[in-house]
Amino acid sequence: MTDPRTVTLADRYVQAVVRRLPERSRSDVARELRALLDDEVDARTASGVTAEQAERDAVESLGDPARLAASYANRPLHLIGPEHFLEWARLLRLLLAIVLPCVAGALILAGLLENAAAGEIAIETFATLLAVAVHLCFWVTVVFAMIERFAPNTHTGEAWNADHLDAVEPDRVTQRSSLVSAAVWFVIVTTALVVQHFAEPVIAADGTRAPVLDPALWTWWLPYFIAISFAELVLVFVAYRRGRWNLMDAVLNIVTAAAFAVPFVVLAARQQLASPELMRLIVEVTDAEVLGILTSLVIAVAIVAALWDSVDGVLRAARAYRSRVSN
Amino acid sequence: MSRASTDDPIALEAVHLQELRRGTVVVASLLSLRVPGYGYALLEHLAAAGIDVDANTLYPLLRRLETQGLLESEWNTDESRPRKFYRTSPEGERLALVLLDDARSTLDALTRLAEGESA
Repeated sequence: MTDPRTVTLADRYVQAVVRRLPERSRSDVARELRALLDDEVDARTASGVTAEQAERDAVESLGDPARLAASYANRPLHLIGPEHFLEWARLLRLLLAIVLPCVAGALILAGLLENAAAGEIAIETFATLLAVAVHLCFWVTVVFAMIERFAPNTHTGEAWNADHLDAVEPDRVTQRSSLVSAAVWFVIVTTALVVQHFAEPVIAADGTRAPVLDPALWTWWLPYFIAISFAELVLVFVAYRRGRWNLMDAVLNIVTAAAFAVPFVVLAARQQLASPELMRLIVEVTDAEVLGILTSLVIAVAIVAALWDSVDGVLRAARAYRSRVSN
Repeated sequence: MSRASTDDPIALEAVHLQELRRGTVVVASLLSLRVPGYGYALLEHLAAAGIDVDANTLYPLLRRLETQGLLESEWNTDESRPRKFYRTSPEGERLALVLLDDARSTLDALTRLAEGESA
């Protein structure tokens, strides 16, 4: 018989379970669980095991007190369950896709208008985007966790029916989104090029202002880059109208990507991309080595972007080909 | 748990067996407790009958069935320490027979499928 004055393993276990339960069921569950444990201990000692070992085995057969408590309380052991998970995922994706570009655009525009240095704009934009993204994820998750906990049987949307199936095929949807992003990219590139020329965000030590890119580029190369971006947009648009991405599209995509990247990289390598004032400013503020590093960075980014674009085009053509062959 | 695949046949078997057994514990408990019994005794009784269930699954289940009105409980204070025993309510007994009937039909259907296969 257990000494009523000492706290036994069984007592400690029962306490560990019931302290996680709501007030009203605590004493009842405690009594029942204690009685059940005692029953099991009696049964085990009857088969020849020591009382201490029997108590240990009995407690261990019940397992983690937190899990047992959750089982008693009918509490779900997840944050967001199957009921609401898809809505959560869709909403989060939608919000991130809309809010982050808007914020980035606003910050970049503000930075350009305030004539901040390009590096400063980049750092601030990145830091803010990170903070915004974290906040979005956190608060959306919290709201859904609350819904899951306090209203687990509600549907957060209307019931799915056949009308919800995309009116356009999924391939179409990706084509539409790539059309939109190509258009947006074209607008951003053109606007950025024009704005940086007139806003003249680079401020030299003696107070004179200058654009980010070498103004000499305006005679040929900048209009060329704008034209290439426009050509890419036309390419995506034509593929969209045709409804299918074929091999020719992939090839032309690679050609335009190269047509953009190759002169860009060459100009950057020859230090002809940035305005002389900007380069002078960078060397003054830091040193020539940093200028070299920045140049390499710009070149690397341009190459990676071009490769990514090309590979994406090829993959899309392959996918379209495969789905056509299998149909 | 749902990620088991043929890479781990033992785990795969365990997963599917668990799925199959999940429903039977309720029927088994309701049928067994037509004769009033204590929690741990029920556990042993079911094991002896061939229904293996963990204590940490059974005990909360008994409370749940009680709140659903399928079981009734009482504390026996006659012995040296109080013990709680459960008994199947009339509702519980009716449901147990419905579930048992369903289980039998399912087993018959499976037998027919199995025999149909080998025919």
